[in-house]
Amino acid sequence: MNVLLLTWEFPPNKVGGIGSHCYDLSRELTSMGHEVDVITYGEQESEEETDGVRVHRVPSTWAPDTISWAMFLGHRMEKKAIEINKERKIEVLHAHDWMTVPGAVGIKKMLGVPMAFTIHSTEAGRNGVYSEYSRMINDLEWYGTYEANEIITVGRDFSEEIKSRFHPPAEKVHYIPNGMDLKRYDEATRNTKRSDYAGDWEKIVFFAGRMVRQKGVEHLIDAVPNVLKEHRDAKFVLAGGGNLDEYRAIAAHKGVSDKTYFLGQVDEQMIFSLFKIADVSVAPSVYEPFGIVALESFAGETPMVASSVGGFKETVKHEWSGLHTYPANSQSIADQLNRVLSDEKWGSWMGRNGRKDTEENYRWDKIAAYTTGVYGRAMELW
Amino acid sequence: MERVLLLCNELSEQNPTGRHCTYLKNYLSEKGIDTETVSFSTNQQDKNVHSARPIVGANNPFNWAMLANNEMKMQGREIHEKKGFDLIHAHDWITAPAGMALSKLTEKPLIFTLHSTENNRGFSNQHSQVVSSIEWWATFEARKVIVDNLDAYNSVKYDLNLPEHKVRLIDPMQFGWQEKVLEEYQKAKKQAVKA
Repeated sequence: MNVLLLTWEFPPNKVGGIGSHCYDLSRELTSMGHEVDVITYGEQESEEETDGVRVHRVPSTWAPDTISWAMFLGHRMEKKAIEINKERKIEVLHAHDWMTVPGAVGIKKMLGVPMAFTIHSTEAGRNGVYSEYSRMINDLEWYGTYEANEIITVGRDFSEEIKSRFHPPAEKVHYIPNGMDLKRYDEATRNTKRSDYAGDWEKIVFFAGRMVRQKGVEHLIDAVPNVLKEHRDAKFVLAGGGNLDEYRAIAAHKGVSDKTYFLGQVDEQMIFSLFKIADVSVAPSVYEPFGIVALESFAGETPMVASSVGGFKETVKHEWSGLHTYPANSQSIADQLNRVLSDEKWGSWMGRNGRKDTEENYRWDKIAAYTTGVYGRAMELW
Repeated sequence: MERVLLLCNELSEQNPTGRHCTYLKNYLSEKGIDTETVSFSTNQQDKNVHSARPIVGANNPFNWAMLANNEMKMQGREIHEKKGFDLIHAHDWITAPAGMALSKLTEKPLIFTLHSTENNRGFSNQHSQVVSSIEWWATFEARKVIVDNLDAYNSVKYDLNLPEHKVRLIDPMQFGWQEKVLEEYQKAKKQAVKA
């Protein structure tokens, strides 16, 4: 089938996990024999083809805020879709998150094609709906679920959130988890040496994610002194962009600056490498529909200590591939980190279990197959 | 010229742009040209007038317009599939996204009327830049740009850098203005056939 994917970010432009998700999905769909075009944002209009996936980048314009920017981007995406449609009749459109909703609905209505919509998280969960601006984002998320013929969510709990928040017909909502390209991970980390990142005596606790409230970084920093009490050799490495200065200041206030290293935004290869060499990874999120970091950690056979929220409830299997903590509870985070750091063998065993689970249940070929099933349903009912 | 698709913000006699569209629509009908009109706001009971209202609210007029345009595009596509049309005539930036998209989809020429530009209106709010971008794109993609006053004419020429041959000033206060619009339709259609 001829598929058009719409995403505001696509590698090498990446901010969150949507770019990686669309990259892996598009490659897998192509390898299954489908024709895939991706329309995404680019500073300049350009086209490229990688592994059979045609990527079309279109610019937006200066706008006073992200919503209006996304509205204009949608208009440019739509024009590109009309061009693509003249060459290859688009059979199904797949939009990702609220930023592509205005453009996706425009394409659906303009070309008369069925639309699938993957919602990766909600504004209510990320920031809360507390202003006219955040209400508008929330409304665009609703608009996407209303206009989509089929909705895909990345977490089982998250499906329930979507159903109760936006009230779509239940049969329209499908849970398909995120996936992990283990081949790419292994290639990227083939030459990774622990000695490049840490001393033999150090125990690395690794966090990867945006430095925002949703990721719960402040709870992790709160937990650091209690971990150091038991494991003076622990070193906390935090990778991700965002409110770095704020979190550095919190670490300084707690007196743990010398044990917390904020790397800022780093590339994917470094993230993968750090997951591989870490003794344990940590994800203290207060809201996480899926949490791809769990799979990235398991790919490197590293156990994860994660909040018992959203997707982590499924991906991190308590005391088998990692440990759950109470959400937003620094004592719980410290306790669970201490448990893993105190028993190296158990940690390694959990890491290996995580890898096995990822190999079996989060393979992109499986996920792409489920996704095409949803496309088929959207086309059938159109 | 058999059928025209008019895209208007408002189709009423309550304000100047609404009146402009209404009079033009009536004139075209009198001349035997089928006119399908899609408007965001109308109280006219006419089978050839279609209302496009967004199904979701917005936090400012720009975002509202972009969402409303999605409905306008759908109406335009459905009209094209059912009856077809020879030309699209969009009015002002507020209908321009639908006009441009429908023109690209159907390969029918776009005539774009600007009653004023964002520069004429003072470029005075936070969305002025993005609105002006849309105006620029629409004047760029239109086969012909019609303005109805000298201020708009100068702004289109100097602010939006449109070549003089692409713009025509048609004063709606003068007798026979609709005839001049029709003249532009005929020219645009001929050019489109040649192209």
